[in-house]
Amino acid sequence: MDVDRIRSDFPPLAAPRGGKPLVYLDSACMALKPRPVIDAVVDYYENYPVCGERSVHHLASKVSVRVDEAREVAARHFNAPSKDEVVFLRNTTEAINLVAHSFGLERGDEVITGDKEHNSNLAPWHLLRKRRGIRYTVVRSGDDGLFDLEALKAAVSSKTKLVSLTHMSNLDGTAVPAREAAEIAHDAGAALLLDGAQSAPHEPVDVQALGCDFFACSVHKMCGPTGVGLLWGRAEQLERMDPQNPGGSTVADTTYEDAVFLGAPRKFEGGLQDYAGIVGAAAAIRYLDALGMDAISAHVRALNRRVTAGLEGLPGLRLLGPPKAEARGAVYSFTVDGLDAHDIALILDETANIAIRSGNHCVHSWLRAHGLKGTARASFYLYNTPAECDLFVGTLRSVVGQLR
Amino acid sequence: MGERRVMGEGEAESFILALLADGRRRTTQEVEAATSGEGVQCPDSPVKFLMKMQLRGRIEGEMDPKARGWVWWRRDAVG
Repeated sequence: MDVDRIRSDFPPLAAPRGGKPLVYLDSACMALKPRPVIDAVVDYYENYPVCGERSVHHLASKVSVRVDEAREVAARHFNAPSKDEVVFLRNTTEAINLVAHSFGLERGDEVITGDKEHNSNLAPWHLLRKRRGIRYTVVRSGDDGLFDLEALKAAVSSKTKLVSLTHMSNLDGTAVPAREAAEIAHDAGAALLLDGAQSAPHEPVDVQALGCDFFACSVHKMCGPTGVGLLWGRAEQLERMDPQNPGGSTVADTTYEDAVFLGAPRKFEGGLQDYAGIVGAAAAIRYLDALGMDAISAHVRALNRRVTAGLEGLPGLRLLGPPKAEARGAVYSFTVDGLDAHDIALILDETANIAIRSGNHCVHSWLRAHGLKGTARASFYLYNTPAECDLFVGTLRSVVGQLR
Repeated sequence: MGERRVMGEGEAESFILALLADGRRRTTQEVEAATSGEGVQCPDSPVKFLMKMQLRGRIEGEMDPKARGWVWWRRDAVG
């Protein structure tokens, strides 16, 4: 990958603050947007800012065509059998909630998750537990901090209807063995939903090879516009699920007595959509496809290895997750004894224009269970460089040296 | 999980400005302890609320090795 050329596509990287270039290590929260994505969004607003799938004039037809193309691009990217299995939503949270509330879970049905779930894959199940009386079981990681397949096997039962797992943790970057988890879920008669918010941006994802029934992700973490996510679902699953946002565009016909709903994906995309976001999403996915997901994955892992090696032995530093960078994808999450994670992030931002995340990363549950207030987290992406990693390492070492 | 009354934006800003009026620099933890002591909390997480106040120019912040972290203060404090 020609990272210097790639970086020229991202305007914020050319805008220093106080003479210091931006070192953006928070892509796990949201990725920066390259010029082709920005141009696609601007093109929509400048040239055809109208609604799709309604009016018949040429502008509206262009929107409809662009949305179809975006769906096709997404389906190819994730190797979905059909573009009709791709639902455009606002984000991973909305995608998971769509499954949660449409899957058909009833009192006594069980949902199983891991113990490092983002709140978006925890809160919906707690809500259903309180409202509908489902059983919500959390399978704990092993002593090595990795997902425990044996524990999942022991946990599933005839009551288990859905296993919902983070494909890659936003907390420590560790991955769930999805194919094996799918087998275990299916053997028990359950479906598997994967929260792919953190895997989709930098890993090749083949939903057929993974064997999952649903895959949720946020395109805004994949260099796409804000507020765009998607849910891939097996056709037979989506077919039996009711819409959660019924309204315009979701119906084939209505009378005063009844409403006849369209099939997937249209029945799940009620109302006018974020057309600018969807065309931008297509541009983002095309951008990633041109670079190649294998190349992006190799790049972020190399950066993680560099940072991991550079910070080894720093007094007081505790790395979350396995020591080997290979097992942590694009994430380096850490605490420093005696120092507040937010303070570390503020100081890196102020002194060196290095942007990292700090706090509970929406994984309150795991942090509380392990007695931690929060962590600082650096996450790497296709536009980061070894020099940026070295700057992060050097600055952090200096800050810790001054404060401890 | 404990419950404290969530202050509105204006109330929280006034609270923090009053807290910092004595001129003493405080860490985020000290600000949080002060709100907790009064049974209230910021509308957002304390550090995010304080950062917004800093961006609006209401307070200042910087690294303080003596405090072993980040501290906040009012430029116009009377203390």
